[in-house]
Amino acid sequence: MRGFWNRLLFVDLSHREIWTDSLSEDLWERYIGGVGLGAYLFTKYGGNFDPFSDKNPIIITTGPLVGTAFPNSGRHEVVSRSPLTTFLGESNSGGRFGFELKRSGLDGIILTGISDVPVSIFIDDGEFRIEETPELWGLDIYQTQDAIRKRGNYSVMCIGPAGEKRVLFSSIMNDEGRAAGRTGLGAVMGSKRVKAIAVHGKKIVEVNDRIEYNRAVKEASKSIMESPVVSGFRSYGSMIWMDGGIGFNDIPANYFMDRSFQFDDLSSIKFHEEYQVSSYNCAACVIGCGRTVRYNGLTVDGPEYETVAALGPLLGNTSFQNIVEWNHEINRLGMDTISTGVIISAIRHFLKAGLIDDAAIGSYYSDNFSGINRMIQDIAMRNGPGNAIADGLYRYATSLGIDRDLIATVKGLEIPLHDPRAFKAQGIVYATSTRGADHMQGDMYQIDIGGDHPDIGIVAGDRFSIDSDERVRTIIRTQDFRQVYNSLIICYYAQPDPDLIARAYSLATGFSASIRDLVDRGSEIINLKRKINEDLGLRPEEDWLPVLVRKPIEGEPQESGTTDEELISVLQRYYRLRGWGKYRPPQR
Amino acid sequence: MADEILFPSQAWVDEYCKKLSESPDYNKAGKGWKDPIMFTISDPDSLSERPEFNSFTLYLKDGRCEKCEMVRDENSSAPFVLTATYANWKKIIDGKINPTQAMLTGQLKVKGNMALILRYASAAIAMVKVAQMIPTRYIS
Ligand code: SF4
Repeated sequence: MRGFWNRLLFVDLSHREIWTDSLSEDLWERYIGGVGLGAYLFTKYGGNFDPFSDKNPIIITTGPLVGTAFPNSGRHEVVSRSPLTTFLGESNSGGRFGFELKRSGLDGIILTGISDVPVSIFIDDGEFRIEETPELWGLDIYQTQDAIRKRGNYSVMCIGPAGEKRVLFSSIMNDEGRAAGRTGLGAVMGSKRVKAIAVHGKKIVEVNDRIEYNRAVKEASKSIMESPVVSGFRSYGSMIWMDGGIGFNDIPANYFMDRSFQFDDLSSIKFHEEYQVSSYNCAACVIGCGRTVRYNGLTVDGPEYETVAALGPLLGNTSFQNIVEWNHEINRLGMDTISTGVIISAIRHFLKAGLIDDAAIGSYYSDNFSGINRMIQDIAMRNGPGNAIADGLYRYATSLGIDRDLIATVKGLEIPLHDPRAFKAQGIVYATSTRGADHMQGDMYQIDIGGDHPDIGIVAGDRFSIDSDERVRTIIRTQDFRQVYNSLIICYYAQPDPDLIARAYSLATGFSASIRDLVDRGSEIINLKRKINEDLGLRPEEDWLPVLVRKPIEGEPQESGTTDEELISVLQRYYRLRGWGKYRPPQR
Repeated sequence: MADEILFPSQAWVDEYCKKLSESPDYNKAGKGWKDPIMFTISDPDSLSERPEFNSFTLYLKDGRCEKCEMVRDENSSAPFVLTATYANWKKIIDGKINPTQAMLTGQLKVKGNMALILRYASAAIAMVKVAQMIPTRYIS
């Protein structure tokens, strides 16, 4: 076996012990790496424990292509029980951390226990140690990374004050503003009192057939560069969807209520014309969607599509200036920009609709949004009214008696910014995804635009049609395929011919697999994650989508909506085709 | 169907340019657009009948078509060049594929600012609707 070191780092924080161990070869083959490996390791080292208990592990994995030159493979995955959803949490991130970790001679890290004082973990090309770092506690993520980089040429993953305060949607940030943002894993790291993990590695990852592998890398890079959207990503970053999404009504506005928004104000073109923007790449990336922007004399991370959409149209804010400032603050404090943006937008709507009557909360919102920065600080520090909001939208809204159908979450995770009324199959991905509402578990909005792969059973269809076995099979296959990406791990903006992915995997590892074999393994990974969730208390009725994002918007086609009956019928098909038994809808 | 006009031909392009300016939908959706767009057929040699030109340029401005031009010089260009096979142009004009979708999937290749052209998705749809108003004869 090549492409792996077969070496995992174990850190017992309670006893300050650190050691490495291996797995049997069949497990590396079966679970691929990344999220597949992470889910398997969770079954071994995790379980039905409080997310903040010493027994809930944080599992950080790389994959067989990570650390090599395979395009867009510089990623790592973080898996743990999510304090936000209470189910299996997972999130992957780009930057350099995964690349450096793999090149330090490790495939992953498993953190267990709780430290009595704040610590950081240092990994120097395969040498590792735990250090007490109380001086870093309380620092924001940029200050933390700067402080650690003064000690060596490290790639750093860390939490900010929000993770320390256990904000349930806090992120684990790395390499400036790259984020394992979703499902609140920063709070788990905070509960363990781990401020940062710093890694530097320069070992060459051995692959099984170097010459042929390099050829596959070249072909994959060429295939990615030929994709028509890549030039757009290079020129405008992921924010280009602020321009592309409007043609499909994919960008929600005013807390998913309507589309009445001046989208021209937040065009990616305008952003690139009006600001001093630079681009950067994650390790091994051939695209470079990353953005930094000059703001108030500083160079800060530029917002991605999801962030612009959440803090812009969803909130009803037309100012890029605000978005750049809030994005910087949310990142700096270490929170998920999607969850934070959706929550701030939701509360604004609840206030306007008279569902909340609270002067302290109301004071965050003014016509020019001048209170939002203070709101972000209060949430991150759990100050005053921010404390309750820091528990996430679902807990906050239900505590106020707000109807579930008005709450933009699935399994407690805030719904991202691809509107299920633009691509109804995307809504089914949100409803069924094991980590909650999630566009990174199946990109049906891209498939139904025509980015399909008929050879592996992923066929583009009418974006308003979902209720047939054929359509549901495509949704399932798309989710399975996404597990392959999240396990190898590759950024989904890179879409080489799928056969090339399988070829590179086989050449790297020496495990022979076709793309169909890998997608079948993706399906097993989903079933494993589902089983973990059932053990953590998941019930079928949690696979659901609130009416808020299913009700057609005035003036848009009636068939863009999804009724209860249609949703139930599709979910019944989904359960049958997945072999998950009988679907039970929520009781009304 | 004696009135059908061959696509592409001078008559078709003239009619298209005229109808674009007359279309209230296009007038509205194309507001703010300033650049000429060159439309190109990538596979003229594979057609049973060779069209008189492979490309034409529409000078589009603020929701109107100011003039049109047949392009015979292989080296001509424009700020935006949209290229597709004849079969794909037919699909786009017939409404079988949405123009934004065609651009994102490479069935319609874009040279020029991709974000800007995506932003005018509703103008592209209005342009397709206008094209559908022309009784068109396609090369088989
Ligand atoms: S496309 Fe963007 S997110 Fe993906 S690897 Fe490249 S820079 Fe990172």
